[in-house]
Formats: sequence, structure tokens, C-alpha cells
Amino acid sequence: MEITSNSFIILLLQVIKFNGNVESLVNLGYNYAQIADTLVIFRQQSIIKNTEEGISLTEAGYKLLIKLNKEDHRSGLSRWISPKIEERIERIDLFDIYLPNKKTKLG
Amino acid sequence: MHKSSKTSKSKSTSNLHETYITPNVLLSIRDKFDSKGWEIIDSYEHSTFQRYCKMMAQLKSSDKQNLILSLTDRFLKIDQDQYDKYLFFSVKNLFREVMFSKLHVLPLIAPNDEGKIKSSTSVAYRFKGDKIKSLPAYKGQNIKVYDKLKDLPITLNDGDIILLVDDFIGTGETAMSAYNYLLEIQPHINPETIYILSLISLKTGVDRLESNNISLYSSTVLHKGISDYYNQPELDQYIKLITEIEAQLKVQNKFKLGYGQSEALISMIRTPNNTFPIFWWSKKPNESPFPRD
Repeated sequence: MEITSNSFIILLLQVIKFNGNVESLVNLGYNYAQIADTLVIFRQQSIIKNTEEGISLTEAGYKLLIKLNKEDHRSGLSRWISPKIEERIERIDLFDIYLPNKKTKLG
Repeated sequence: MHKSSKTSKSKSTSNLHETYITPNVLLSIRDKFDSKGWEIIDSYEHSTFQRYCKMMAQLKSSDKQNLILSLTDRFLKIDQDQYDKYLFFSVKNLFREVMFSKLHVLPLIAPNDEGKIKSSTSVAYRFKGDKIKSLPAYKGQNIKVYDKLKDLPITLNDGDIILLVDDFIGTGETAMSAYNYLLEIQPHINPETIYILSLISLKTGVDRLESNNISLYSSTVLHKGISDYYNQPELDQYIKLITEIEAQLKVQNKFKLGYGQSEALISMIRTPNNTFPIFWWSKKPNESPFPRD
């Protein structure tokens, strides 16, 4: 599934909000330099600010996230967290057998 | 925004936190690269920036990431096009302080490394160029460059000096070995006429050569990256953290804290193994910021 530019910005804003892991964006195919460039633009546009704990969203950052969520028709929990697209697997039939990639504790 | 050419790969749930890097740390890395004037190329998957970020993401813990960021503050990266600047600084000091009529320049190579491609040869080669002769401190002396220690003439005249050159002096082990070998194969040479010149040296190496009464000219002398910069309790805390990082990387014992426990923070055309392994050690290619292979 392709991620749109809007989805990229939403996901990055969400990661900043929770001081989460940018690896979720790397796993979608963006590289560190691209993500860092966007963070620099966010700072220039006062979408993020430096605090003692690190960077956080400004009021303008929250407004942008709300605006993009509306444009993307997101509501409820999906306004604040994004699905891990890269973890999605194809839908299988009710009677298909599913074998996970990795062994579990059960073997 | 275009995604990089890397294809998205699904990861199993258990690998979710194999790598971890917050936006805050990523922005700090970006700022660090900017302030140090290091290049950031966003279209190139294997750029130093990408590899640095990958290395940081593998550390996961913010304590470890913050330590590496602080060490990076003092990290010296010398690209090939900056070699002349550092070399001429060392050469100028030598020309000002040492009176000589003829300079015999030799690459500093340990006897068992003879025949191998070493950076010292490229430093020696620079003495063949006319840039050195245009330095204000140059007084028209004769400069002769040799490939190997064995090529040095058996008889030297009064006023001749021998200069062993390299880009980097680490523990001083190689320098001592080359110096002793030269005296062994040319026993008639007066040891006082032998000088060593390098672009960069570690304090450990400088001390070792000085204690053997060998004159060294170097544009920059580097101290130990942790032991010489922090006091207790930070010192113990940071040594413990870097030791944990090296255990995580499965670094060979002889390279822990850098070869000879040098704690160096330097990268040149090739990163010296005296540098903390976190900056160069990797089992796979393109996973460390300043790889040696």
C-alpha cells in the first residue's frame, strides 16, 4: 500500500507527539535524511519546538495534524495513531491455514 | 516527497523494536552534521548520514545515543581534500624549527607491512609536489622521496635529515617499529637525524615517541575521547555504556575502546582502528558511519 505525502506528514506528526520511533517511517521506505529534512522544515515553520524533554508539537503543529486528519477523513483513534501499514498481511480465507514467519513460544 | 528506492519490507512482530530512534534524536543528528559541515545526501541510501542514523537506531537506548552524540561533537573527520592543510601545518613547523640542507622523505611503514598499500605512501608522495616548496618556511633545501626504507642511501652528508611520514600516529607502535627497523638496516645513521611527521597524532603515541627521544611533528594531537574528557562519576558511567555498546556489537577484544584502548575520535581516508569501534565496526557492509572495509 502506497503512503501519500499527507499520510507521511500525519504519521510523522503522530510520532513527534508521542516521541515515538521514526523507524515506522523508515519501514515504509522513507530514509532518515528525508525524515530529518521534514523535521527541519517543521522547526522553521514553528510546527515543532524544542523543550527540555526534546521536541514537541506547537499549537500550529496540533492544528496542522487536525487539518490533515480532516482532509484524510480520519476520526476517532486514527487521528492520533496510524495503522502499521507495513505489518498488514493479505486477507486470507476462513479455512486457509496461516503459518506465522517466526516461531512462537508454542513452537 | 519521494520515497527512497528502498522497498518496504514487512517485519515480524518480534522485530518491532530491533531499531529505535526518536524524532528528537534524528533532529539532533541532523543538526550535528550541519554544525560539523558533514554532507547529508538524502537520495543516497549509503551516505554517511544514513549509516550514522542506522548505527544510532541500533543502539535503541537514549543514554547510549546521547553518549555517541557527545563523542561526535569531538569527532574529527578529515577528507582527502583536507590532507594538504594538515600536512602543510606540520611541515611548516618542521621547516621553521629544524635546520637541514637535504631532506630524505620515507613513508612510515612497519617492516611486516612493506609492499602493502598504506596511507603513508600517499603522504610521502606529496613531498614530490611543488606546493611544499612554495611554503614561506621553505628555504630551497633539497627534498628527496623514497618508496621504501631500504632505498635510503648508505651514506648521508652532514646537514641531511630523515623524515618518516604518515597521516596518523596512533599508539606509536608502528612508528617505533619503523624507526627501529631503519636503525637496524642502516646502523650508521645517527638517530638524532631521524624525525617523524604526521598529520594527526594521538597523545599516547606522542608520549611514547617522546619517551624514546624521537622528534615528532604533527598538526593536531588528540586526547582520549572519554578518559581525558570526563571526571567521575560520568567517566565510569560512560566507559560502562561504551563497553555495553561494544558488547552489543560483538567487537573483538583487541579493538575494544579502539586499538590499544586509544579512545580515538578520528576518521581519515581510512578510519584508524584506534577510533571507538562504534564508528567503524560492522559485520555487514554499510552499517557503520565510517567503515574501514
